[in-house]
Amino acid sequence: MSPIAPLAPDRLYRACDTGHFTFTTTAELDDLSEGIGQMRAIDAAHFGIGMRHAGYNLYVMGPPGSGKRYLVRQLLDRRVGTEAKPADWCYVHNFSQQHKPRAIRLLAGMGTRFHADMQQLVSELQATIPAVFEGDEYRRRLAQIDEEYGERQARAFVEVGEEAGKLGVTLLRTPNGFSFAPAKGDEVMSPEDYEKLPQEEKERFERDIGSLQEKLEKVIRQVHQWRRERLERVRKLNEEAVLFAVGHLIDDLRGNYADYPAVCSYLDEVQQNVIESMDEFHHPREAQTGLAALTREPPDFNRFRVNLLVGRDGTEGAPVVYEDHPTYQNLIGRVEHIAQLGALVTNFLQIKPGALHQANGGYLLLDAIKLLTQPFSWEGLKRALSTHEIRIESLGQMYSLVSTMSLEPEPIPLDAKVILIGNRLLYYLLAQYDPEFGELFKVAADFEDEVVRSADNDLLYARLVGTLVRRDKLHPFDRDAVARVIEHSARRAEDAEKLSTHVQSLADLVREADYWAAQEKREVVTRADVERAIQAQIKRSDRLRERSHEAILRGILHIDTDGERVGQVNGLSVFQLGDFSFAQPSRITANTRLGDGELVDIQREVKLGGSIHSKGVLILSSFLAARYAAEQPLSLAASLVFEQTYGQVEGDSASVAELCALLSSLANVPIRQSLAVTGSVDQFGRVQAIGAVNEKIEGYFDICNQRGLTGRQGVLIPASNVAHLMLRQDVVDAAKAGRFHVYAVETVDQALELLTGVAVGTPDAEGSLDQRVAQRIKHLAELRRKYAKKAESGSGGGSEQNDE
Amino acid sequence: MNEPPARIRIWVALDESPRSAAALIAAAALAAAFDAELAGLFVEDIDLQHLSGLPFAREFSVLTGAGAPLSPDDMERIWRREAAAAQRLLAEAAGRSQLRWSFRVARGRVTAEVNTLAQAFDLIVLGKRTGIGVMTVVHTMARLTERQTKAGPVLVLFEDLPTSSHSLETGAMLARSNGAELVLLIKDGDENAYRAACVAALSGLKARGMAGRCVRLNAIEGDNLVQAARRERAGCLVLAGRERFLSQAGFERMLDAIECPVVLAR
Repeated sequence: MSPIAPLAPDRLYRACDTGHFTFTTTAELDDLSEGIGQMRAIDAAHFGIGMRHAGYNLYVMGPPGSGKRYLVRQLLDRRVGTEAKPADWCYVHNFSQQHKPRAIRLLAGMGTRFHADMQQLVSELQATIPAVFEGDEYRRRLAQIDEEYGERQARAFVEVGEEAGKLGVTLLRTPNGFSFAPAKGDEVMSPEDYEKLPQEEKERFERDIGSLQEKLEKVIRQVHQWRRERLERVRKLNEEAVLFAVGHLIDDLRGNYADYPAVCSYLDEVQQNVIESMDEFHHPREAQTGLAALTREPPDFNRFRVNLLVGRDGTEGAPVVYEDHPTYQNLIGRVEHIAQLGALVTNFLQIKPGALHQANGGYLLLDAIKLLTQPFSWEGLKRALSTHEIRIESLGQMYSLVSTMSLEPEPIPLDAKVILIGNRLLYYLLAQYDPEFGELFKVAADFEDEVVRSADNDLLYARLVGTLVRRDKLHPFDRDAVARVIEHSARRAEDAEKLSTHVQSLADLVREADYWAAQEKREVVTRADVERAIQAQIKRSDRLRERSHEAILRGILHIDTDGERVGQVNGLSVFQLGDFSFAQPSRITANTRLGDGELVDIQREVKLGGSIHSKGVLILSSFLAARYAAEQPLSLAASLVFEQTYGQVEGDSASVAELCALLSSLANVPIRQSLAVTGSVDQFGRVQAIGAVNEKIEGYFDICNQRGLTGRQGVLIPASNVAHLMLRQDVVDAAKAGRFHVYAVETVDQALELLTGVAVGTPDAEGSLDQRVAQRIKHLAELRRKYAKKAESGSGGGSEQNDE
Repeated sequence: MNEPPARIRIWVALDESPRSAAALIAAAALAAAFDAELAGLFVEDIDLQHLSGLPFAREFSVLTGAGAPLSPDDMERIWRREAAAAQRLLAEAAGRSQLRWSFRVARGRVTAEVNTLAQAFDLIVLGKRTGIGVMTVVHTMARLTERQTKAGPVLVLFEDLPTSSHSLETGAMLARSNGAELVLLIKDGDENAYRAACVAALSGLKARGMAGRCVRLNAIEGDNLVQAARRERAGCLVLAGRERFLSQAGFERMLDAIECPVVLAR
């Protein structure tokens, strides 16, 4: 096997070819409105927005900052202008069931008019009704009624009185009513005189008075009947008067709203209520003081007002509403309360719309995570979408937490498209665990995290940069600056052949590059400005990296970058700190001895190893057994450890390094410490790709560079990671100068040969690494058999080293 | 109550009826205008006392139509309560206008008591409700009619008598203090005489800095006066030469029928 050559410098970094850019600066480029490489998501969004059937709501997913909301908003903005304005919605008083305000739908713009018309009506009623009752005609007719009934009553009593008079009895008015008594002239006979009467006369008086009392009772009953008749006539007179005064006002409104049966029906009720409560119009808000003023319910004409819940006056097209704080109330609406004498009261005017009301007939955008973290919001939204209506319910009432007076407003039909914006994890969790989710959100628009890096996409990226520049009123970027932005985007994508679609970080970089250009008094942003912005971003975040590297350089963390050691190799670890990640070398050591085939991962034993790391270690065990002890017991015990690590170790990217350390220990062949290794390995020794390859190479490079590059130092990476290389310029420069090397390996054997300088060969090849490993394992197996025999015969054995 | 007697005394007959309250208001207005003493009288009707003493006495409620025994004790209790209420109302009315006032309870008949007191008092205001035929319907629209911001007119019976000057002055005073219209009731069958009397009356008013209008009256009888008061929705009626009315047989019946206070001047 020929030795592996280092990768050529041009494979360490794929520069953007500015040759296919025809512009000088981004000022010459058109805006980009549809994003880059998002056709799948955009098509899905178009479909979801266009489908007017129930359940075709959208879940727009992708990583945060990928510009999902911006793109969806652009799609909607282009569409809603051509759509009809949805209806206005009002709540009005329900005269028959006060706690259930009625909802009325009106054409867009009519709600405002209806609101003003009712306000005007109340003002006119307040002026008109008192005038009617103070008018001469009304008073004359009322007096006629009073006179008629007064005379009728008086006549009835007079008749009784006259009949009594004929019998020598007088009819008297008493404090509470009437009575009869024997008369003596014009006066009532005194008890003394009455006692002096003959018995027959007394009996006659009592008989006559008894008969008169019966008649009086009839008259009194008749008077009550007349009173009721009079009341009825007065009521009719009042109705007639009020109707005459206000009928034409309400008729005018009926004419104006003839196309709205609900309004006409409401106006009928208003008219009836005005008649029933005419006193309130006649005596509004009389002055009262003290407790009476506090406890009295003042005439309240608010019941004739209109609560314009959603008015579309002055708007164009369908509404697009983004609710940034989707609490239950902000979403569904709420009924507010007013404190009155220590109690909370409410009425239909206190009904406030939610985002669903505002978006009804249009589109509602919500952040999925915000929605799901607000109590009851998700359930409320699903209920509204399932029932196709917005029903305002107080949470306090729903859960019996409060017992204040509340309302049950009539539900409003819902016809809105809900667009949830969130990450993929949430989408898949909802799809898995919420059975209603699939029925209500049938369309998923999946935004790509990255797109293929091609000449066309490079140009689109340039247009995207130009769009951001114009949007934020920045200096234009020249083509080299754009190229550097594209290269950085590839680095962000961790792939030389891809570009990140993370618009937010792109926008940040563009703005910061503009800042540095402005600092240099440049009118056009150059590559140097972009580079400075990138370095400044790193600098702002890399305090921990510096501390970590400092610890290595001061010898606190033991990392050799030269020399050779048996059973010791430089692995590479990545630390993710928010949006910033960096790598540093870690010393991995292996120890082997006689045992029964167990491979001890010390990280796992002390619960500092993650499951993926443990998986990698177990694969090593399998590899060893398969290659070196396929037909005999693996009679070794080995231990592996990440030295000087005190936190969790996760991932399998160190498994190649661990295997090399293990085989070095078994073969007793030293490993070159000038090299570091990264990569995972399968059971057959094939090296597999890992993540953050650029950070890992740069991490080791930084240590070597600060100690002084010797030309022997380098990093071994999986060959399948070569396509991901977008290394820093100083690393590339060192490679060009032959002072640092990056090797791409496909198998662990290639790695071992590079690390040890010894050919792996085969177990039979003399002097090969494989032969040394095989011999060691064979020797351990023999020792084990020997000890087993001794154990059987009752005698113990010595240590492996002693026997050797 | 124990202030020394004023030079002018206005007598007002009181009970618990709304008209009595109206009479009290009119009397208080007059007393304030004349700086007079307001004297209240509560009459315990002797006929009711006799009635309550009869073994079969029963009172029939106008509210329910049901009859209930009426004993002398019941009557005494009712009078005590009514008298106390009347006295309280009088004290309040006098207190509002800072008037001297007195109150007494008499047992007898209203007209007899008025006759007895007529010599000692200058003005008599009556709102007493007695007898039959006064069962005023409680209006459902009462709030509309009772709360008029504008007071009903003051009606003055104007006759070609020396006492008319006195009634005109009293009427003018009441109209002014209440911001009410002054209406002169003039009885005369002859058109020219009526016009002449009207001109004379209006000039008399003009001399007092007032204006008014005339209404023709066919006869000076109780029924005519009651009808005129009702037609004009009068706030009160002023009559001069009170002895003449007090001695009239139908005067008590007129008091029963009329719906506004009656002011009797000398």
